[in-house]
Amino acid sequence: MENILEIKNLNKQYDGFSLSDISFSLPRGYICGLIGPNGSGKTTIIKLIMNIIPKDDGSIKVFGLDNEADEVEVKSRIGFVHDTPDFYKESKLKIIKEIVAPFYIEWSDEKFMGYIDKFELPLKKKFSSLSLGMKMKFWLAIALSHNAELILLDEPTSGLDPVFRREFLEMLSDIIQDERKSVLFSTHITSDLDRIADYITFIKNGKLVFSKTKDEIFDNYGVIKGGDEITNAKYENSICGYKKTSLGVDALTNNIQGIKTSLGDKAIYEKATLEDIMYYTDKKETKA
Amino acid sequence: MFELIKYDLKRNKMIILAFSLIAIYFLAVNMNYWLYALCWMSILPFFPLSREEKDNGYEFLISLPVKKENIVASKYICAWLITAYISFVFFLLPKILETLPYLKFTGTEGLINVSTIVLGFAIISFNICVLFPLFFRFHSSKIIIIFIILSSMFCGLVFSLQKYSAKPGDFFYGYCRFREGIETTALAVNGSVGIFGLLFVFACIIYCISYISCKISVEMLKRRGQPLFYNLRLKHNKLLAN
Repeated sequence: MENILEIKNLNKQYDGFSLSDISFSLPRGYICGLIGPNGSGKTTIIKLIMNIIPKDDGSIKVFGLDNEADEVEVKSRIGFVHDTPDFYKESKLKIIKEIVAPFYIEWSDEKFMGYIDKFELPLKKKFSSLSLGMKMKFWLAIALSHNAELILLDEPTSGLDPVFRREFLEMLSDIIQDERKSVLFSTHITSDLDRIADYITFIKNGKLVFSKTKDEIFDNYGVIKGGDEITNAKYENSICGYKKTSLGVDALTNNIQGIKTSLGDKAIYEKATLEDIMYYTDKKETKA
Repeated sequence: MFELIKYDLKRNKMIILAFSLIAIYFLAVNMNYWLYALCWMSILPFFPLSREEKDNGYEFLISLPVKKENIVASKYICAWLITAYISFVFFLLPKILETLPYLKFTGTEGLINVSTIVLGFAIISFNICVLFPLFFRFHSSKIIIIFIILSSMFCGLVFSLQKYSAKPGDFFYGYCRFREGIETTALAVNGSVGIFGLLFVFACIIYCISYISCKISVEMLKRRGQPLFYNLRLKHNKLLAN
């Protein structure tokens, strides 16, 4: 399987934050969701892929090319949407399109106008007069109009209404149907990923927790509810995090079958959602 | 790169037009034309940069398939084009207008010649070369003080030069002619065209300084938003880790 994106031992340091040893890859023809709490480093990873900020160490290969040495070619094949897309606020949408289009060799006005109609965007209006959702739709139209092979989206669904969000996710599914394109998008809304993602990459405090297929995650992760024996040292390797309550212990495991065999009827087992995984990971919390 | 220049000029056309009107106004009011002209001229080339910053344009431009070198070079070229245009408006346009029988502007009479234009251009060029790398590295609010100090220094210099010569550029020209014997260079045929020798030397100096400044600006753009001495600190940390 050919990888469209390969990140190895990526490092970046800021004052008070560091991204350490991030390695993951995305095969061609799949959708990968980048999840993690606020400030975990999702946007930093996306900016590093786009070479908006320089990396300290490690390597980023996109389409098999180095993202710094072959910057122009790499970027021309990526459709990118920023997390805060407030650029050229006082310009009309038509003008912004005129600025962007000449930079892409494969730009298609036909496709762009198709998306403009579909998203019902007013080309003659100023960018600042649009709602957050409309702004995001506009940048999506731009990102999807130049035949990009990798679509890189930073929190694209955060400002969208539920109806358009679902349509948008279907659109992403359609994009990868030809098996030549891939999508990497960061989000807080984990239900979006439940619907369409093939791979999930989870980042916490600048460190990679896992990067696996969605099936692998849902087969192995689970929430267990039971007594204090869950926090016993012999289960340490299988328990990712737990919360003690007055009723007992709620914990997340990455080895649901193993725990089931050991604990048997002493606990209740539930399927873990991505939200559960984000919530419980590394949590060692005791509540009265 | 052509696209970048085109879009910069397009976005700033209203400001350029406003400055042209200001030039004509100062010409009509006839008060220390030189001083006013230079003040306004030195501000204008920075508008495309500060406008880009206001629109969060740097982050956007960097995400487009274009080299950082081209982004920087386009800003420099745009600044030169604006400077050339505004020099034309401030200095050559009055000269042209003077030739019209019914349009008599007295503000610049006897003050404008080639050496004066060269001096104005040199001052603005120096301003651009010093300040552009800072603009690419820091937020403009952080360097506004440096900008004001530099501009005030140059305006003060020009103002004081008026004591020595009616045409401020002539003071420098006369000094250079005396020191270097510009008229004897291959480019100069006689005393009246000696200024072209000086122009050639001036153009070479401006080109060299601009080239260095441009290279520094590219590095500054790459480091935009990073803490000061980030790379040094990184190397230091790596050494410590080893």
